[in-house]
Amino acid sequence: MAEADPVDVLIVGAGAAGAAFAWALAGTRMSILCLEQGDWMDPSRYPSAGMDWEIRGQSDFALSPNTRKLPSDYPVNDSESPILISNFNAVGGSTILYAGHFPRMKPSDFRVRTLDGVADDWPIDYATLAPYWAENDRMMGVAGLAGDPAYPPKEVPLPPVPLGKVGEAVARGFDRLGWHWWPSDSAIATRPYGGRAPCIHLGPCITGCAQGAKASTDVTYWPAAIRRGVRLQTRCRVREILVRPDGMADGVVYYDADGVERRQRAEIVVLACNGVGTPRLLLNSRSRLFPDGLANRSGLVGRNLMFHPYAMVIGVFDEPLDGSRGPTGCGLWSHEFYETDRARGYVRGFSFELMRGFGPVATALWGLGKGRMPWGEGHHAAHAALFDRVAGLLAICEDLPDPENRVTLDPELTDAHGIPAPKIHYTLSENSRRMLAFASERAREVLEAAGAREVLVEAPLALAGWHLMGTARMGTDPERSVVNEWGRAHDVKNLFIIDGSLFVTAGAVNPTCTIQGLALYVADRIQKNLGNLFD
Amino acid sequence: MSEAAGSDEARAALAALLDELVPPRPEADLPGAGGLGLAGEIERALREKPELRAVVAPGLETLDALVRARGADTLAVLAPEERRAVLADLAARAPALLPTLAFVTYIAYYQDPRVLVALGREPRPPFPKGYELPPFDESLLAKVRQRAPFYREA
Repeated sequence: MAEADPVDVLIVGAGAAGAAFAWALAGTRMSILCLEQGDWMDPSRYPSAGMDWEIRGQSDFALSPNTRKLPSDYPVNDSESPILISNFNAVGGSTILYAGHFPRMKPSDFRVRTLDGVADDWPIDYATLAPYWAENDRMMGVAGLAGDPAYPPKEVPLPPVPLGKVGEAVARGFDRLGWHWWPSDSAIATRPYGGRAPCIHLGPCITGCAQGAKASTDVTYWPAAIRRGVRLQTRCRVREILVRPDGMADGVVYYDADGVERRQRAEIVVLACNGVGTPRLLLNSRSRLFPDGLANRSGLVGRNLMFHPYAMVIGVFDEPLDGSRGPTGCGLWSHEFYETDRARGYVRGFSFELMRGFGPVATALWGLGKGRMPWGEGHHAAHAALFDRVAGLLAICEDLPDPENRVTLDPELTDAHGIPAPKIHYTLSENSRRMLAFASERAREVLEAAGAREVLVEAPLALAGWHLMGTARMGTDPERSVVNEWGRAHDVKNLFIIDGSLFVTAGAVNPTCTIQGLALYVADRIQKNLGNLFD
Repeated sequence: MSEAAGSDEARAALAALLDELVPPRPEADLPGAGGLGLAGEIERALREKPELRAVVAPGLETLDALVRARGADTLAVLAPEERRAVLADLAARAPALLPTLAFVTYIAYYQDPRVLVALGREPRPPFPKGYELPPFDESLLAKVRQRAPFYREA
C-alpha cells in the first residue's frame, strides 16, 4: 500500500472544526496534515452568480447528499428518519451551505441535568468556552450587537446585518407581544474584514456566498492555516483508522483523488467529520482490539444522535417585504422561550430565528407544494399574493439525547469506494413534539402581531438535519462517554474528536460556533498537555 | 417525451398546454408560458430528469388523444370552454401530468428576464451587483433594551 512520511497530527475533515483546529495548532512545530474528501470550491460558480440561482439548491447545491450525489459525497440512509441529513463535502465542509447564524450556547445548556433533571451535564461550562468563542468570532468575522439581555455580556467584532423591511416587520411583532428579540450574531462580514469583501445582500447564503462575505472556513481559517504550514490534501476519502498493537491509533487508510488506496501514519489522529461522518468512520474501524468499532468500548459511538427539530412558520402579509434580499437565515433571533418552564408541557426550550422571504421561483414552488399555486386562470393572482409578501420564523428546538437515536453502518449501501454508508435511526420524542407545537403557536402569534393575514406551519421540517450532534459525546466517565473533557478518546489516547459528535446536549441554537469553540479549546488543551498527552 | 417529441407539432402542442398552465396576463405585461417560448427549454429539462419525463410523456399522449377526439389538431384551436373540459378530462386520466408539468414550468417561467421585469425585478442574478439595504437601526431596540438580563445562571 502506498505510504507517505508520517506526520505529527492528522486531521480528517476540513470543515468548521477541522479548519479551526488546524489553524490553532499551526503555531506549533508539529507537522499537520488534513485529509478532506471534497475539493476547494470555486465561488464564481456559486448559484447566486446565475439566473438559475433559486433552483440550484435542488441539484448540485442541495442540502442532502442523497440529492446532490456529487463525487465528493457519500450516501446516507435516512429513509427511516423524519428529519433528513444535510451536509456538504468540500474544503469548508457544511459552512459552504450554512446560513451563518452564529449564536452561542448559554450557561444553562451545560448544566441540563443539574437544572432540569434530564439528559446530562457537560464536563465543561460556559466560562470554559467563552475565550474560545471570542477567538472564533474574531477569526470568522462575526456581525452582531453587544448588549443582548438573553446572554452574559460579550463583544461582537462587526455591526449587525440589516433587518430590511421583513426583519423590521417581524421585530415589531415581537415588540407588540413584549417578547425578546435581538439582531443575530451572524458569521457574515458586514464590513471589509480579513481580506473578505462585505455582504452585498445577495440572499441565497445557503447555496454558497459568491461575494465571500459569509464565513465559510475555506475563506477564513484555511488560508491562514496554510500560510502557517498546515498541509491540506483534497479529494482524499478516509476508510478507516488503523490501530497499533498497543491500542493507539496508527494513522488512516484512505483513497486519494485517483482512487489509489494509501496509508498515512500519524502520532495524533483528529476526527472532524461531523456527527454522522465521525461515528461512521469509528464504526468502520474495527480491529481485534476494537471489534465493535474504534473507541467504542462504552458502546456509545453513534448513539445519542441529536438534531434540532425545526418548525417553519410563515406569515403572509399584504405589504411587500422585500424578503429575498439580505442573508437568508440571519437577521434577528428571539430567546424568549429558551429556558425550561414545565407549565408549557415540555422540558428545555427553543429559539426563533428570522427566515426572510422567497424569490419568484421559490415562491411558485413553495406555493405549489402547499396547494396554493394553481395553474390556469388563478395562477398570477396566487403568485402575486405570495411573492414578496411572506416572512418566516424558524423555531430551533432542543433535542434531548436518546441512545436509541443513533448512527450505524448500513449493511448494504456504500459510497463510491465501497465504504459502508451511515444509517440513521431516529424517532422524534414526545417532548420535541410538544415543544414544536408550542413553538409553532408562539410563532403564529408573533407573525399575526406583525400583521400577517395568514400563517402556515410546517413542523417538523424534514429537510432540516443540519445540526448533527452527540454521537461521540464528551464526559469524565468512560462508561458513559466516548471522549474525555477535552476531546481525547477514553479508549485511544492519541485519538481526538472535535466536531458536533462531542455535544452532550444540543442547546437550542445553531451549533457551528460552539463546534469551532470546542475545536479551539481541544487544540489549546493539546498544546498545554503536550508533555503528558498520552498519559 | 412522446415519439414525436422535439417536432414542431409536438412543441406547439406543449406550448399550447403551457399557456393553459400559466396563461398570459396582458394588463400586467406577463406573457403566457407557451408564448414565452419555454416549450423547448422544458423539453430539455425533462430530458435531464427521466423520472419527470416518465410522467409527462404518456400524459401528453393522453392530451393529444383527447384533443383529436374533439376533431382538433391542437389544444390551442379549441374554444375556451372546450379547453377547460379537455384539461378536466386530462386531470382525471393523467393525474400526475399537470402538477409535474407545472413544477417544471414554474421554474423556467420565473427565471425568464421578461417575467422578472414584469414583476418589477431587475433581470439579473443577485451576484455581482447585489442589493442595497439600509443598515441596522438601533433605535428599533428601544423596548428590548429596557429588559433586564434573563438568561439562567448555571
